[in-house]
Amino acid sequence: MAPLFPDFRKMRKRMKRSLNYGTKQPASLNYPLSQLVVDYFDKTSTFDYMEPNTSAMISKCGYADPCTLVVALVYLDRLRVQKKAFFESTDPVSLYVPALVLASKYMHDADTYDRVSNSEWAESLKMTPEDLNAKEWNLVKNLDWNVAVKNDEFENYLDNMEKWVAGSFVEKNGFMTYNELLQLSSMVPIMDIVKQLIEFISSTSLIYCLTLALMSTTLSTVSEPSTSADVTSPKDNNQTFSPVFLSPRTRSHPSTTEFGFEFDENEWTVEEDVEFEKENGTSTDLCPFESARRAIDKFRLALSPYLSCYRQSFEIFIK
Amino acid sequence: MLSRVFSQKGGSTKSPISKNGTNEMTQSWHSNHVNGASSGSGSGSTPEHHNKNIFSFLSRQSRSRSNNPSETMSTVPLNKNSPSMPPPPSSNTVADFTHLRRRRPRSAHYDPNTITLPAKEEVTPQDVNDLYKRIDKLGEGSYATVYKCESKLDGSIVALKEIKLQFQEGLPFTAIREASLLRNLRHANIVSLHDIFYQHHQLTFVFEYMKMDLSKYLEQNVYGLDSIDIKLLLFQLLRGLDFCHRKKILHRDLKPQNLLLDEDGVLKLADFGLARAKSVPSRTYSHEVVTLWYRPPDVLMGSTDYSTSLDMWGVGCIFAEICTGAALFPGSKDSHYPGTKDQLDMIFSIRGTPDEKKWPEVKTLPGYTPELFPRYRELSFIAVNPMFTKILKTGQELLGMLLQLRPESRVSAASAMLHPYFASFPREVHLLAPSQSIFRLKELKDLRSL
Repeated sequence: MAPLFPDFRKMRKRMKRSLNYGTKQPASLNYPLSQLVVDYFDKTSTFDYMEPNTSAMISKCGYADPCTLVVALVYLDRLRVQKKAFFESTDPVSLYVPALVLASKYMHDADTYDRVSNSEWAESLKMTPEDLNAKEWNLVKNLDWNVAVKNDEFENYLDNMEKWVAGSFVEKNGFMTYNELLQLSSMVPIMDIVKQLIEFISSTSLIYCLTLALMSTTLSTVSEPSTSADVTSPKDNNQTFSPVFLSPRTRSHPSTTEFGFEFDENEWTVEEDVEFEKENGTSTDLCPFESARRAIDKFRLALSPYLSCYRQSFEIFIK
Repeated sequence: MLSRVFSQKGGSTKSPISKNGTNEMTQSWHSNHVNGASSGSGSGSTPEHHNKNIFSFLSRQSRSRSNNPSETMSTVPLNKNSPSMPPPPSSNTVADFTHLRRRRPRSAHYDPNTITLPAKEEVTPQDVNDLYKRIDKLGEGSYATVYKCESKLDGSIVALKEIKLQFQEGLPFTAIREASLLRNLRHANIVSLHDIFYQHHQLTFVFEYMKMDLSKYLEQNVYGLDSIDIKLLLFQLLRGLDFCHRKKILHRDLKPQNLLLDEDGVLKLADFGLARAKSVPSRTYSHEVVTLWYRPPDVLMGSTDYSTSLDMWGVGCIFAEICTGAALFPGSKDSHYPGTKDQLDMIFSIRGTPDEKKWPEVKTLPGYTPELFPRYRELSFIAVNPMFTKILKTGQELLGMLLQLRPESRVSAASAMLHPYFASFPREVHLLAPSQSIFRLKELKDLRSL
């Protein structure tokens, strides 16, 4: 036996896995491929059906391997496209058998193992050699001798065959193995789904981030100030800022104590409120911001140990 | 439905009375009714011989499984049959669908008037003998004979190749290969196939006529051709072969007999009967390809994993032959094993014994037996034949690149066309369309001397 081509060995390994050959070598046509031929003629031939028994008998003689079947299907599709009247007015068996014979002659050399003569075909199928020769000539004539097959054409038809076998398996058994998932998943538009999913996730993430930012801003605004106060810290703060803000008060009260100093601050605040109300013309009894003012005062008093560095800007902001 | 049942009833009742051809027809009706399907007979077309042979199993099985005629005639079984109709469509299994398919053949759904019957041959095919008149016999091979013919329509000269059909083998694969591959090869340096006839149990190809082949031309030039003719012929050979290799087609039978020349010196590749396409996967290739003198050493040692390098060795042998007028490796077949020892000895005596360091794959070849050959050293072509001075140093270099023992080291047709040996050709020769001859260029037209 001559050594096999590496690409042929690879092709056979692929067919063994994808065409349900199991542990056997794909040297002949198995049951799913016989059913594929029956299904092909069911869909394309208006003359008559092909019997599953006939298809199985043709496969059983073992003269055609899956590669030959792929090339034969290429021929049948060419015939269907070019000579539709001839295709629809001929018995499926009279098209299928010569297509296999012609594909086998095209693919295999005369002195190789795969070579099959017409007399051997006729003997296995119980036809006369003259009958098979006439059908072969009829096919070649109607194909107009267009029997060369390109590589991409072969790949296309083999891919369709694998998908059909996988679909037939799922329909018959009701479950999928990894082979069926692999073959049929390429039919699903995965790229479109992935794109839409990415768009959805990105837009949702954007909305979530914006919402989170807005919520964090609102929560910080409505937080309650604490009422704790440290006695020693205000003293330091006052010493730091007294030359700038409280120098007039200091002159008027040079001998005030610490407690008195705090009291002075409160008086200053009240004076500011009264002046603001007088300018606007509103009475003291109907002031709506009184409670707010008190809250702000308490807040400022509570935060004074921590915001001593920003007192100036803070007071400007309040005013 | 009832009308069909009545008609089938009438047919079945007549069967015991008449025993003519109608009896056979009624029997087919009867089996059709019982079994449900029989391809060919139900469609209205005449049953063919192979159908009887193929479906003889089915008819026997149907007879064994058929019901009693009394049951089929009575109306009560029909009522029983009707409940069995609905379950098959609801089921998803193939077996039930098969059963349903047997009961109702597709042809039964059609009106007989709308069934497509085989179209009759309206145009009678013209006889090849009425179209062409034989003038001369050009040559005869093992499987074909070539005649020079004149067309009776327009007086043009063509070459008719009559292919002998083997007994009960149908179309020979050589014809299938040649016809299918030549349809894709339209090139100025490849012979063109005009028409195909299949009449009188004979297959006839109509080719364009060429004056002679290179073998006959070399017989007229015993001491080889002129240096300019060698260059022109070799370039055309490489140009046609590069076109084939780009289309993944191997010629596999390059020899001077298969290279045709016309009056203007145009060379064309011919005889694609052994050619094959590399586009479909195949278990293995034949190792009985190429004539013995032009077969590369790797194929002689049993390799079938060849590629375009197979043809390039043949180009090298032809290059040497048109230079000296005699074949470079004229080996002979002997009965010892391996049968190609003499040919290999001739090759190694000129190109040297295979070096396992330079060609490590040679050890895996089935026919590699290094002990049969003495240690040869590679010779220069001048030492082989002084006539190789015609092709100068660049030509000898190209010849060496073509005749490399290792297939991977052989130059390809595209690279060979760019070799400095063809530097004297104008640059436009590489830009010609495939259907244009190189002699369209004025510089080359003036160079030819045939």
